[in-house]
Amino acid sequence: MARRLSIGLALATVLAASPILAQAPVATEKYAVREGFAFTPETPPRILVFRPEVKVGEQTTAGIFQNNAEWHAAVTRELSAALVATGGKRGIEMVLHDDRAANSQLLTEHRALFRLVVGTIIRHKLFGKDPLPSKVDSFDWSLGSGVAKIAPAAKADYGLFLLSHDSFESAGRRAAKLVAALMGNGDIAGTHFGYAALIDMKNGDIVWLGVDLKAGGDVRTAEGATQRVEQLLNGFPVRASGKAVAP
Amino acid sequence: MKRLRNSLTLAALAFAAPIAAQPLELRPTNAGYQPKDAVEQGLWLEMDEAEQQMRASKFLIEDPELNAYVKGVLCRAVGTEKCGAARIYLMRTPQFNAAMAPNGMMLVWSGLLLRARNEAELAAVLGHEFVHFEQQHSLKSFHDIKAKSNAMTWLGFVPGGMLAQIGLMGSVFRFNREMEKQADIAALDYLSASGYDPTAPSKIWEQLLGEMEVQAKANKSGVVAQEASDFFSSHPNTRDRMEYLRAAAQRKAPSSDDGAGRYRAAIARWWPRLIDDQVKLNDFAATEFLLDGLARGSWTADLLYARGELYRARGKEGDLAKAEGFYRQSATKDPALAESWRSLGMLLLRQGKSDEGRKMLRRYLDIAPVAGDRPMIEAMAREPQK
Repeated sequence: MARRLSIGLALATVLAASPILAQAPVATEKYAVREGFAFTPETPPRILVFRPEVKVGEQTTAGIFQNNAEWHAAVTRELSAALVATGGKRGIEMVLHDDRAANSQLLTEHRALFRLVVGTIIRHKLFGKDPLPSKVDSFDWSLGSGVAKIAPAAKADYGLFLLSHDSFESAGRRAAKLVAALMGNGDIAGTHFGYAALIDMKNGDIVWLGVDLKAGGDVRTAEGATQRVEQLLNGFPVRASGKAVAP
Repeated sequence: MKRLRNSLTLAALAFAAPIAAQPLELRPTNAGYQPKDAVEQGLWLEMDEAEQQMRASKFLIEDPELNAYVKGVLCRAVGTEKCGAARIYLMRTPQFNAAMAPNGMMLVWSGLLLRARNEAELAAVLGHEFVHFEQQHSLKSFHDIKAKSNAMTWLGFVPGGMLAQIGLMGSVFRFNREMEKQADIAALDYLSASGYDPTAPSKIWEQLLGEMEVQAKANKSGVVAQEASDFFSSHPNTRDRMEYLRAAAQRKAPSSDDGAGRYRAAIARWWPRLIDDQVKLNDFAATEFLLDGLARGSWTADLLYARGELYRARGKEGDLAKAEGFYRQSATKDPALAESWRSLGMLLLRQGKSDEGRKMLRRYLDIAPVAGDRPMIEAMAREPQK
């Protein structure tokens, strides 16, 4: 029974590859900062970097996503390394969290909550056309104080979550895309989507969120991962300056 | 037959290569099996991540005894040398379903536990899912969808290609139906080889078909949803399934071992919660059919209590009186079933028969002194201050 749904979805993807109307260019990259947020100027902040949530694979000719475990390992490794290096350049101490360690259940739950909250922010605040009346002038989402229990031993001020979904076009997909373009059909390129967020580890407040709907950089490589991280951290709170503006 | 052919092949291999014994190909059921190519690795990765989330699910039934029982049934059905490859997750979800992922994660919904009437029926479903896993049906299905959808894409550029596209789409579903049938038949082999009643699989489909029919009738659609379309069905038509399984069972050695007693004992502690979940689906006709099928003419205290709950929840004219009758019968049959007294007490309070209602609630508290809802029921059972 369960399989019927996935088959239906896969086939729907194929049939939905219809021409897309030309649209006015829209911003695909946005960020938001909690009002009044700034790192404390005296001590350098310590940020716990959670294992990036990675989905990477190949787009088949028909556009079905084919997960790739080898790329997954590479992307996870390169993005983690790029985050630590980029943080260092900005005078921020970034430490990697060992995901398989204790309290992984709590982390799994908070990851799920986080995905849901970010989905809401993307849809109702940053990109969507239906803003929530109570959130028009504010950016005050929070995951709740439960986050403090995820990794108390790390003694981190903030936690950094990063998500990266990439589907690279297969040779067949590239050919199909070319034919589609010749026939006047629109853009059916693979998705490269990512976001990163900074969470206050004391109270769960989301203090900064950067989203990129069409992210650049081949995250399977060190250079590409660095490019992706630099792009996502655009608008990241500057250390000690405290000046950050919501879009 | 297939098993015989396999062992002949193995024998041939052993004779053909007497010196350098050829390494046997590992199956997913072998310890230490690892996914072979990029596609399989990708599928496993996806499922491993889903499994990690499953472990944190609030719907997971963690009761170690119940988990051990279900695992034991699978092991008896498919053999202890193979069953270790499966990791079973019992999910508290009231519908009838089970699924198995290519990495060995098996999901069993509690609605299946409620609907199975004996161990053999449970073994039939577990065995079916296990065959999907053992024969790598998910992987084959992915390859099939990938190849056919690729062809569909190219056909999309050709004038008139649409008919062929629809044909291919249908063939994806046909491929799935074939795998389902294959799993049904292989699961029956397992069931029979392990000494269970071979008629169990056809019986569980027969019951499910009946439930779907009364549901459709109650919804006035007149069509059983799953039977409406054959061409785009991922599973065989339920009636066909029931029939070919019944025919195949006749070719097996008969067995009367259905483990009904063991099964009832194993799920006894969970039963009130399972039926409560079902009653809350607000699906009166199907639930009534389900209870009737479980009772098969002999209404136990448990089933009478459940029937009372069903009528009390619907609360149409005359339902409350019926519910009261069922609770009273249940309490007579088994006075130790605390829940009947509680429901009877609440029902009487609702009808204004306060004195008797409070008496029944106190009876509940006497039988279940450590009940989780004790403070609430105590408050309701207290005599009003004069």
